[in-house]
Amino acid sequence: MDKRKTLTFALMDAPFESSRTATALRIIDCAVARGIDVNVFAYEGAVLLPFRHQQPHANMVHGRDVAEEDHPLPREWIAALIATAAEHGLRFDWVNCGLCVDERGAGDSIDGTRRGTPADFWKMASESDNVLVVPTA
Amino acid sequence: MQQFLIIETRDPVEHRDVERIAALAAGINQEGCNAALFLTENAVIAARPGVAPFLEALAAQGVPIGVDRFALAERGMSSKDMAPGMTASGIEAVVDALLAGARAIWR
Repeated sequence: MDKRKTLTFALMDAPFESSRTATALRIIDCAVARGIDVNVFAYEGAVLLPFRHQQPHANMVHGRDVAEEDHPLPREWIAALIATAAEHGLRFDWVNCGLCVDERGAGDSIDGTRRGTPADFWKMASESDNVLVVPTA
Repeated sequence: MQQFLIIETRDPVEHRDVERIAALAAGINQEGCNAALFLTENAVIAARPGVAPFLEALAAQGVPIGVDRFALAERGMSSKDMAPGMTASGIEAVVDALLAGARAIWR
């Protein structure tokens, strides 16, 4: 039987600013769907991706209320990834860079994520089958 | 043989240094490795015929060029809008390459 695979991803972009985050989360979603253990190291603005207090908003320009607008929130996407991984018995380790968290007051993240340091990224990368770094634009 | 996957996200009209992909891919191949490209986000615009001749030349040389089907659809494009040698592909192509041990370079 093949050894279970692990992929590690490093994300850096803040939420609501770059398509890179959505693309990276699509790749991570695909990895989870394939039964792969996933590590994510969130660095710089990316530590705000799982920030618990993100809220959807209405779109008055288009005349849509909050429900109609159905504004996507990265914290919900990440929570869905964590839930899917748990359902399939996979390891999904989301680590926020602690210094980046403190700089941004971003300590209140959703359940299933944790605080760490760049040393965690080194350890994750060392122990993974491969690594994808998604830099800022 | 080491595989490299170059993930390009930028529109070559707005970002002229996207052209450097050609030199990067050629250099990788000259070093005895294999380069493949995956175009996503605004980079899929480069798949249109005539927009990025340097990519069409790479494709003609046999460099695999995958084009993100999701990003194509977002921009009102389909595989019918692509130059010869480019292949519409799902995001799973990136996961496949990572699992196969390719070194991925995100641009």
